Amino acid sequence: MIAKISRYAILLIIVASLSIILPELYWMLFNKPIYKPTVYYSTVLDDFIYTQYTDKNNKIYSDLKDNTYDRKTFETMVPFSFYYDLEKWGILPESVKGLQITPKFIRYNSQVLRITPRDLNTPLISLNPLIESQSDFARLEMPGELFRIDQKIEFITALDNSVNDSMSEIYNQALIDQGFCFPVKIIAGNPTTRKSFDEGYFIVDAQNSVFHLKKVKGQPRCIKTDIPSNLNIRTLIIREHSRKEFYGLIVTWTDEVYMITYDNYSILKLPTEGYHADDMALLLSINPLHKLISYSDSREMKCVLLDNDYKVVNRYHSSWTPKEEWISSKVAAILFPFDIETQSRNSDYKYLKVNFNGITSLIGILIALLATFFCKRFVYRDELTNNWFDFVIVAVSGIFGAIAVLFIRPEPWD
Amino acid sequence: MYKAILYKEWLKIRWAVLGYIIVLLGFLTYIGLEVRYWFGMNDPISIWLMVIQKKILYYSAIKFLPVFAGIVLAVVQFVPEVVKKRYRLTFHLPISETRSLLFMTGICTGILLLFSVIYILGLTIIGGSFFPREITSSSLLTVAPWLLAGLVGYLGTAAIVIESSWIYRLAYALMFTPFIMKLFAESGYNEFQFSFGSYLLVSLFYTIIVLFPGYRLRKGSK
Repeated sequence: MIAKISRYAILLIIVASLSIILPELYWMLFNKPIYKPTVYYSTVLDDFIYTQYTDKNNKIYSDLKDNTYDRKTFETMVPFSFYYDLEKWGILPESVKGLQITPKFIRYNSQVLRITPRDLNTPLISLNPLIESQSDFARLEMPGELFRIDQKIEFITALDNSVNDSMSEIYNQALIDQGFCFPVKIIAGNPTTRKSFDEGYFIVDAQNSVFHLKKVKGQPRCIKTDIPSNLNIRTLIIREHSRKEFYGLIVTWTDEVYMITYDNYSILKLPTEGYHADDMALLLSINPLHKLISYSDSREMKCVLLDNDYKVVNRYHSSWTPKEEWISSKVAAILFPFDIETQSRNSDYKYLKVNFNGITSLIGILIALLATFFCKRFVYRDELTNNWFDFVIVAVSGIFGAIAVLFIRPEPWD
Repeated sequence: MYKAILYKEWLKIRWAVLGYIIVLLGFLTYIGLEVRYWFGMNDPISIWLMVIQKKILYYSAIKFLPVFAGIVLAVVQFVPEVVKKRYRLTFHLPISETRSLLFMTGICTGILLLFSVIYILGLTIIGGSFFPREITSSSLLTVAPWLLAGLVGYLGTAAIVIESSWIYRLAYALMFTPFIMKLFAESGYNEFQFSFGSYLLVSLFYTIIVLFPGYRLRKGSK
């Protein structure tokens, strides 16, 4: 009996392995790239224009009226995105829409901020450097310690891997003085010295209040912001920029996106209807005249153009045949009743997740059952009634089970 | 009887066990010295940030050691048994082939667990000496799938070696490998933190797979 169970264990391992490897091999053969458009807003046409690959070697430059352009003409219509090329060619206009421009002016007034699903689904060790925000020197420097913050804040000196008690106490007190309630739920900052200044960290406490902590001349500056505690914050993306228009973005668990402005931390909801943080990459591109929000997944792309007062000026929507509706996906659904997903392009985490392929897989299961019955009955001449569970395995796992039970045949059991 | 089997198993695997312990300690010493060198030559904070932000696994040199140990142990333990079908002598002992096989694999599973303890202790000592506890604990979480691969690799190889048919051996080798390979799929730390339990659950199936090839061996199946 135990040998029989052992065989079933082997069969299940084979089914698991095949349901990982066969769909992977299948998609290595039949997958093809999805060519998404890259959308810009043309200040010349006052409308969206885009570039898009039609195949691996062919890129089109087009507007929404299906007029196509050569690359140079296209770039002249988007001066804020390609000003460096226009400058090189000596054709950068002196003004756009009445606004005097120079490369320096454009660079200063441009910002790009991207949120990808991977940013939200990646493991991170919560140890952060608190960079001096008002250094006497021009460049930012990494401090000699990192801090952990959970039940309290603790600074750990890297030189001897020990807790700096005095510093920890000062910062703890600064947080408590502002009414901070441990433990911490979220901490977000931009811990790099490759920027012009540092805004420290935004920390969500146990009561969902958002605090802003930074180091000023070696001392803590902690501010309890008025960001509502009922936002249901999932994460904050902090990006310092010399314009000092906003600290960064908030993404909530309900997939809303807010901007934290420099106007006393007041928040501004961005018009991102239909945004799904776990599947969509969101790009906020800012130029001297507009703010363009674009977000897309494997099915569609949405763009919203805002003016400098954050009023919606224009919208763009484009969709394409999603992978699930490809013929190769439908064939895969018939062939494979399920597949085991071990990784995703939207996450750094590894999974062992079973994805069922729906009702159409019954066709594949039926064929697998018939093939198994035929082979066992007429080719192998196996004892069927004593090994009926083989058919249960095939009925559940289709082609995977059929391969397993036909390769690893039952023995004449004791 | 079990004591005699234990002694017989020890005679077969002792050099592999001692050899692996020396190799493991050598690698751990190397990692310790390498990390010490990094800290000696660089600003310590930059090393910490390199580990945290760039997700450099300073212990990746020992990534494949557990699965290597598992495969070697299975080979040195079971190849002498299948050469000239010596294992069939076991069928004349007053214990069933199931018990004897599970006892034999249990011995090496225990030894692999002992190896894992040394592995974990080494990483804890190195991590604790140079890094904050968060980095040390993340290293232990990150190596957990590698250690599991050692156990699964051992059990899979044991089944392959005991199997008497080359076609079955090939099928086992092809089919046991994808799951084991997935345990090495990380590109940074803590990536299995939500799925390690599922991988552990599937690995439980490996604990009894050796019995079917053993049964086939006794039956003389081709």
